[in-house]
Amino acid sequence: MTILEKSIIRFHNVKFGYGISNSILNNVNIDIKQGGFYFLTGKSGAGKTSLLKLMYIGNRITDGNLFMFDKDVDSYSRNEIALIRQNISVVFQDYKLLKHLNVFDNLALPLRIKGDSEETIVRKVTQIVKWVGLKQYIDSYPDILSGGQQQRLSIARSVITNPKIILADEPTGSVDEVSAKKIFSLFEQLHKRGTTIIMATHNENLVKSKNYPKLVIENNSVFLEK
Amino acid sequence: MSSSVIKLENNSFSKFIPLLIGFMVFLSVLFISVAHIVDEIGSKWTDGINNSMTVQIIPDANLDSEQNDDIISRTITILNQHYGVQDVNLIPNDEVIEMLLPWFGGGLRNVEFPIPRIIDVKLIDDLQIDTVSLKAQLGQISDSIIVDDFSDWRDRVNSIVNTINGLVYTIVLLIIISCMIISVTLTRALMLMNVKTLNMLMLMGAMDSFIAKEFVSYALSVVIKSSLCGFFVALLSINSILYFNNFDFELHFYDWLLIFGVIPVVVILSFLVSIITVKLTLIKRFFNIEF
Repeated sequence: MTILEKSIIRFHNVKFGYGISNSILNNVNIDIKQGGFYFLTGKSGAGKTSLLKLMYIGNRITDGNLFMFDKDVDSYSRNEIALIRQNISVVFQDYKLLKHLNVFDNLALPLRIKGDSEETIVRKVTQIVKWVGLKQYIDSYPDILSGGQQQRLSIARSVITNPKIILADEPTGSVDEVSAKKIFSLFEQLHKRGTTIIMATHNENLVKSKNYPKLVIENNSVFLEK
Repeated sequence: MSSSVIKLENNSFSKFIPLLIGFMVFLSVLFISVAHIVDEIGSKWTDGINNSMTVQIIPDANLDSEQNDDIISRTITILNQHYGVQDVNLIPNDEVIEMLLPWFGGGLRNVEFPIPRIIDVKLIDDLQIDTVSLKAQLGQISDSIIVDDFSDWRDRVNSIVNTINGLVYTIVLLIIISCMIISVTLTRALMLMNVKTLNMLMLMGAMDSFIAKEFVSYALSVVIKSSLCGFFVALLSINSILYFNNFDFELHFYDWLLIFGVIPVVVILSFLVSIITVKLTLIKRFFNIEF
């Protein structure tokens, strides 16, 4: 394992909920180390997606402090938060591919947001479609791809900008066993390159078979199992 | 025309909006042209009576013809001497009768009727004549001398023209406001239709300016294309109406500027309201990314 000592995301007494009465996460104190690989587990509805959402700053915490890249998120400006989001990629169970864009444009989107030149975009997209084995589908639309292919495309989109953190929300939940293994090996390759990965999963076998630390959500709180 | 790089989706509603904007611009151009035509008609009416006035002398039945002629000649003398008068012309009786025939019929030549004498007075261009002192001087000769400098007529024509213009420009203003509301609706509809794309852009760390550029440039390209269509259809319609009705009107540089001005006004205002709409939406959604 290549877990380093430097903290990349830190929750300090974080509370989160929708409204006063609907508390989802309470008193969360966790420290995500840069370059680490973490499983995120918990029952359905426990708050895994909510925790991931807080990590990509898709929602604001209700109370406490959330530190990302050594700084309290509240102290970042909107543009700084946008830049932080450029360093965090999210892989969803249902892929969240844009159906009206072809494979090339789906992959080019994060690069266009970063402001890369068209030449760089073409080069990077060409490289990454080879890596995920979708070269022959570059002009195709996501609808014609299988679930496994769509998930690989989604992973390719999430890594094309070389993010520091990848948050994966049940990335193998909608694909068969063979595809799931291929997808997981992609995440392990990224982890070996130094990317911090937090993967929410229900797959107990997968969690047990790998020696990665576990973030467990239980009774609205989160704890780390090594 | 759009510089969008993310290929926004649209539906039948957003396809209907260009027609609406085109129609609004068509109406604006049409109304502005109507205002100019009304202006031109008003000018033509008043131009014919500018720098002129008439003096009527009603013959006094108690005086003989020599005394009445004396009043006329003294009136002409005073008029000729008055500052601002260029030319004085006593209209012959026959011409006056010709003028009155439409009102009194052909029998007018055969009846004893005190036909008023009319003096046509030409004034020096753009020189303000002192009608008060003139009326006072002529009043000393006879009470039956009437000076008409057409100011009432001119005021009435100007008042009608100004009222029509006021109404027309109010309508144009309302149409432009409608265009702005349509632009807001278009931008909001685009954002709703592309909510997945919008959320994905925010998730991927797109700056507000990037997202605004994508949505506003799309909305603006729709507004520009439909405004140009509406504009050219309106021009074609106006020219056809003027041509087939043999109207002889000439639009000057200023008029064309005002008519052409509809497009930049609609586009600039649409741009501003679209940007505000996008920014307000982003403020609401920035920390509330929902899939």
